[in-house]
Amino acid sequence: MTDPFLKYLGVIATADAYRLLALTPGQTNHTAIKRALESQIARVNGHPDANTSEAQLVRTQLEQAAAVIIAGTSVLPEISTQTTPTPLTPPALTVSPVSRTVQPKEVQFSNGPTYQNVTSRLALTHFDRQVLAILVAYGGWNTNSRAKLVAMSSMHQVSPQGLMKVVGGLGKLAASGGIHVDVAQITEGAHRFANLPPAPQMLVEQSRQEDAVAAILPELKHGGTWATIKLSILFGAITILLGFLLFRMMVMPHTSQRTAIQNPIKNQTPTGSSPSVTDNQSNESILKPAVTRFPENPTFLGDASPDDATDAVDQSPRLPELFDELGRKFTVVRITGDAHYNDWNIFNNQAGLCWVLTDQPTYKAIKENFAEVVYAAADRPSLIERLLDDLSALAREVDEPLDVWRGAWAVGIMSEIQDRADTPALLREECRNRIRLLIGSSDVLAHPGFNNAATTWLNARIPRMVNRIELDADIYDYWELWFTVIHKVTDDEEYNNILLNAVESILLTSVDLAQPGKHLNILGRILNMADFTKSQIVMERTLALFGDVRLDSRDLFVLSTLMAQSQAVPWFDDELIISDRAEMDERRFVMRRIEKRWPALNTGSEQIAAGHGIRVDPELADRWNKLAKAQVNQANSRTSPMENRSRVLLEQYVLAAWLNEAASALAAQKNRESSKVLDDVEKGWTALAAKRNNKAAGNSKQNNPVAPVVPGGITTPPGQTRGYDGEWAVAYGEVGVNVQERIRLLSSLRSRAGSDLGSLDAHLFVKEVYHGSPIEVRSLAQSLLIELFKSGPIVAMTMLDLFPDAPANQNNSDIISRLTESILPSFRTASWRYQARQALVIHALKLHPSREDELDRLAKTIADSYLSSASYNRVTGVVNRSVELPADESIKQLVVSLRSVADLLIVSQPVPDTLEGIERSYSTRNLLAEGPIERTVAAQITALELLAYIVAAERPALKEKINTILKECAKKRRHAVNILQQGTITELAMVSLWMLRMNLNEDDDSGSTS
Amino acid sequence: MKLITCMFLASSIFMLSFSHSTDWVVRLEALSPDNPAAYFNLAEEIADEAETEPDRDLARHLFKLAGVLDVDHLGRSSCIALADLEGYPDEKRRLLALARLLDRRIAEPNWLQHAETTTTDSDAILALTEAFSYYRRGQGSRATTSLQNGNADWLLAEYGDAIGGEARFRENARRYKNGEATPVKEQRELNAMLRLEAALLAGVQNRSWSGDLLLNGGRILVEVDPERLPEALGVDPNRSIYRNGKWTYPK
Repeated sequence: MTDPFLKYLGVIATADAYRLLALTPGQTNHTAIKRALESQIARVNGHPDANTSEAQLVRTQLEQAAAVIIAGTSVLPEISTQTTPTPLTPPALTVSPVSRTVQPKEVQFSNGPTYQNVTSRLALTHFDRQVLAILVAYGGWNTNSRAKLVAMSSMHQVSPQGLMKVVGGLGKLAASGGIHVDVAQITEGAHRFANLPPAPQMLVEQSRQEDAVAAILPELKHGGTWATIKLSILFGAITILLGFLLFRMMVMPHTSQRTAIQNPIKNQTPTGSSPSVTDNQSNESILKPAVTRFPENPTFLGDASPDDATDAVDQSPRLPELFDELGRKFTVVRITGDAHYNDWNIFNNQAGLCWVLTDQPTYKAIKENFAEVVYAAADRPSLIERLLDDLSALAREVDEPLDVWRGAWAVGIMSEIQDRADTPALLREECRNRIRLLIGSSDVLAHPGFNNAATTWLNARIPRMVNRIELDADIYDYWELWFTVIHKVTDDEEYNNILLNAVESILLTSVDLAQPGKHLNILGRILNMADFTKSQIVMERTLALFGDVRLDSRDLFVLSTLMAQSQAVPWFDDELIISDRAEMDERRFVMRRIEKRWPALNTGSEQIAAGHGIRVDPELADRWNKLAKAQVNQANSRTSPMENRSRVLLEQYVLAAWLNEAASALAAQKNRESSKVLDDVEKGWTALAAKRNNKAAGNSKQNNPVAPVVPGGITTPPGQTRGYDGEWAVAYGEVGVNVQERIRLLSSLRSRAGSDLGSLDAHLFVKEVYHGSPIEVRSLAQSLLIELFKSGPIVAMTMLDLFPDAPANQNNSDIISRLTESILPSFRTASWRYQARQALVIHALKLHPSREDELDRLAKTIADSYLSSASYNRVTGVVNRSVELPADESIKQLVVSLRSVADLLIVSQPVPDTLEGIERSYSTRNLLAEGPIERTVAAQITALELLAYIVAAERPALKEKINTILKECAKKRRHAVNILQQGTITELAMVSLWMLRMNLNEDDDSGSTS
Repeated sequence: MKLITCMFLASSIFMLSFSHSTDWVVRLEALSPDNPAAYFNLAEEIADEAETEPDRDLARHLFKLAGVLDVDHLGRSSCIALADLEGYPDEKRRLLALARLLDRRIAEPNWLQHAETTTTDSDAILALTEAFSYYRRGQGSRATTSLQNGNADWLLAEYGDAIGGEARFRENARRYKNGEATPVKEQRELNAMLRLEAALLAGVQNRSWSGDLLLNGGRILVEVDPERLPEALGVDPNRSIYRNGKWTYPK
C-alpha cells in the first residue's frame, strides 16, 4: 500500500520524529517543535484527502512525534498503517479516495491485513456518493450526467481531470468486482453536509433532490429488489412526463419563454412586504408559468409645491414691478453697487421659484421686465457680465430640489433674451456664451427660446438625478419638481421623449431594478406618466429599448413587468413580458410582438401597410411640400453657368438639407422644430429667388439667401495702421545698434502705431521679433506684437513671410503660439516648422476675410443640419449635438441614425439592396472618396439608400417609384460637373423620398396630403 | 445591360467601318475566351503600335475583354492599361479607382499609389509655401530654389491655377528677385495664395470645404463597383469572339 506519510508529508513512515516534523535533528526548543507540529498538521489538512482515516493516522503520529521529542526520546512508537473505518470529522469537504483505489497498488487491499475488512464496504465520501447518484439518476455516463457531474464537481472545486479520475476509479472498481457499492452507500452521509456554509444554487438544488428522494423513497437507503423496482417505475414515469413536456413545447413554442420570469422577483417587493405572486395558472395546463407581479405598483409622490415656491407665487405679482424698478436704476445710475446686485439675485431667485406655478400674465410680465433690466445694462459690458454670471450661477449646480426650477429659469430666460430680435449684439453674445457653457448644445444656440433651452438643460440633469437616487434623501422631491417643470416647458411629444430619456437612464444603471427601492419606484412612476397609447415617440423609444445592446434583459424584464402591471398601459398583457435571460433574438421577437399590439402602431402600421406612409402634422406637411416642390422643380430646370458657382450650389445644398431636416423633425413629431427649420427654408428660398430675379434684371446687388440664418460668429475686426508707413522704420534704422534708442523707438509704437503697421515698418518690426538682439530688444518686440498687433493683417502676413528665415527656437515657438493661439509641437521636432507655418497661415487668413469664408460657413450649416436630422431619426442611443463636427463626420451620424430605423424593419424585397449590400457599397464609395466633400457625398448617398430602404419597407407598393428616384439620382450624379451639384442632387432625391414617406402628393400644387 | 448593348453596337459599327490589318484580323479571330491572357497580350501589342484612334479603340476593347474574362488575374492590369490610354482625367481617375478596388478585392497589397500620397508630401508642401513667402517678398531666386525641393514644383504645376498659373509665377519670380518690390499687388491674389497654402497645409483629412474646392475644383465623386466590372467597363463578356469584323458569341 502507499505510505501515507510519503503521501501527506513527503517522508517515509520509518523516518525519525525530527524528520517527520521537518525539524533540525537535536532541536529541543518547545516553541519550534510546536510550530513544526502545527505546520505539518496544516500540510496534512491541506491535502485533498485530509478527511480520511489515514490522514488522521498521520496527524496522530505527528502529535506523538512532537511529544516524543519534548519528552527527550527520539524513538517513536511503531507506526501502524492500519486504517480504521471510523468515520472522521473532516476539516473540509474533499474528494474521496476512490480514485486511489483504482490504482493497481491500491486495489491490492489484501496486502494489508487490516484492509481486508473494508473490501466489502468501501468508505465513500459525499463526493463519491453524489457522483454515483448522478450516474444512477441519469442512466450512466451520458451527456446529461456529464453536464451535471461537471457542474457538481465545480461546486466542490474539483477539476474535470479530478472528476474523471473519480469516475474512472469507480468504474474500474465496479468492473473489478472487488467491492459492492450499494444504494445505501450512495445515499449515505448526507447529514454531514447539512452544516456546510450556504452553497451555490445548483448545489442546494442537488441537496434538495437528495433529500426529496430520501423522503419519498426511503428504501433507496437500503437497496434491494423492491428499491430497484421502485426506481424503475420512478424513472419510467419521469420519461413519460418528459415526453409529454416535449410534445407541449413543440405545440406551444412561446409559452416556455415565460418560465424564466418567475425567479427574479420572487420574494422581492418594492415595499419590502412579503411577495405576492399572482398565480395565473390555468386549469388546463400545469405548464403555464405563474406571472410575477409587484404587490403594489411601484411609485412615489414628492412635494410638488414646496413652501418656498408657494410663497414666491404669492408674491409674484409684485415681481415685474421690482424688475422694472431695478431696470430704471441701471438706466439712471451709472455706477452700480452691491445693493443692486443683491436685488438682482433676490429677484431672480424669486422668479426661479415662482415661474412654474404662477399665472400666465404674471409669468409673461416677469419675463418682459426682466428683459428691460438686461437691456438697460446692455451698454456696459462689465455690468452685463456680472448680471449674467450671477444668473448663470443658478443653473450651475443643483443642490436642492428647487434648484431644478431655478436653473431652468436661468437658462431659459437667457436663451429668450438671445432669441429676441431687439437684443443688442453684445448682450446676445454674452447670453450665447453662457448658454454654451451651461448646456453646450449647438441646437439650443441655433434655435434659442425659453422652452427649448430649459428643456435641454432639464434633459441634461437626468444622468445626475439618476446617479443621486440612492444618495439623496430628497430625491423624490427632485423628481416631482422635475416632472412639473418638464410638463410646463414641453409639448406632448417632447414631454414623452424626455420621460423616455429618464427611463433609458434608469435602465442603464447597474442597479438591480428587480429589487425594491427608489430606482424601481421612480421607474414605475415615469411609466405611469408617459403616454403609451397615442405617442409615436414613446412607441419608438420603448421598442428601441428592447434592441438596445447596452441594456440587460433583466432590466427589460422589470420594465415589461411594470408595463404589464401599469394601468397606463392597458393593452400590455402578461404575454409581452420578456424573460430576464432573453437573448437578443428573443428580445427582438418580443419587440415585434409589442409593436404589433401597440394601439397607436395598429393605426400607423395599417396605414403604412396600406401604402399611406407615416402620419405627420398635415398643416406643416403642406407647408413642407410646397417648399420641397419648389426646390425640386427649380433643380430640374436648366441652370445658368453662374448658378454652378460654388456658393450658389452650396446655398441650394443648404436649403435642400434643411428640407430633409424639417422632414425628419416632422416624422419624429417634433413639430415645433420642424416649423422653425421651415421658417429658415422660407427665408432662404425667398432670398434666393430675389437674388435670381436681381441677376435676371441685371442688378448686381447680391444678397446671401441663407445669410440671415447661417450661424457665423463674430470675427475679429482687422487691425488698422496709423501714420506713414516707413517713417518709423527709417528712424529705427538710423539709431543703428544703439540698444537704448531702439528700445525707445520700439516703445514709441505704443503711442504712434495703430493696431497694425505698414509693410515697411512691419518688415523691420517682425525682424526684431524673430531675430532681435540683444534679448531685451527681442522681448520688447515680442511683447508689442501681442499687445498691439495681434489683429494686424500686415503684421500677420509679415510674420508668415519672414518665418522661413526665423530660427527654430523656443522663443520663436512661444511667440507664434501666443500670436496664433495654437499649440505647437516642440521646436526640435521635424513637424514644428510645418505646423508653425500652418498656424501662421490660419492666423493671417482670419485677418484677411474673403468671400470664400462664406463657403465654410455654409458647410458648417450643412453639418449642423445633418446632426439635427440624425437626432430626430435616431431610435437608439443619443446623438451628441454638443460637439461641433465637420460635415463629413456629422453625415455619418445621420447614416447611423437611419440604419437604426432600418434595422427595425422586416423587409422581404429590400430596395435598393439589403442592409449589408448598402453597407458594402458605402465602403467602396468611401474608399474612393478624397477630401471632406467627397467623403460627405459618399456617406450622403448611403443615407439616401437607407431612406429608400425605409420607405420601401413602409410602402412596398411604391418600390418602382423609389427605384426610379434612385436611378434618376445616380444618373444625375454621373452627369454632374461639380461635387456640390452631386450633393444637392442627392439631397433633393431624399426630399422626393420624404414626399413618399409622408404620403404627400407630388403632383398636387397645393401640397396637400393624400 | 442596355448600356452594354449600346456600347457593343457602337463599337461593332465602328469596327465595321474600319479594316484592321490582316495580321491583326488573323490574330483577333484566333482569340478564345479560354485564354484571356491572349486578349491582353494582343491589346498591348496593338496599343504599342497604334497610331490611329481606331487602333487605340481596338486595344481598349481587348483590354476590357481581357479584364472581364479573367477578373482576378487581368482585371486590375486591364484597368491600368485602359487608364494609360485614357485622355479624359475623370475617366482616367475612375479607371484607376477601379484598379485600386480590384486590387483590394483580391486582398493583395495596395501597390497602386494613392494620389493622396503625393499631395500630402509635407516637405514639398512646406517648400512650396515657403516659395510663396519668398515670392511675396520679391525674392524670386529664393522662391525658385525652394521649388526645387521634393515635389514642390509638381505641386505648383498641379495647383498653380489657383494663384494665376505656374507660368506667371515663374515669370514673376524671374522678374522680382532682389527683394525690393513684391509681385503681389492685389488683395485678391494674396488671399488666393493664403487659401492655397492653408488648403495644402491642412492635409486631406482636415481641409475645409473652401480649401477642398480650391484644390479639387469641385471634382465629382467617383462611383464604381468592382463587383460589376463588365458594367463598369461597358463591355459584354459574352461577345468575346471576333468573326467577320464583329465581336460575337462563341458557338
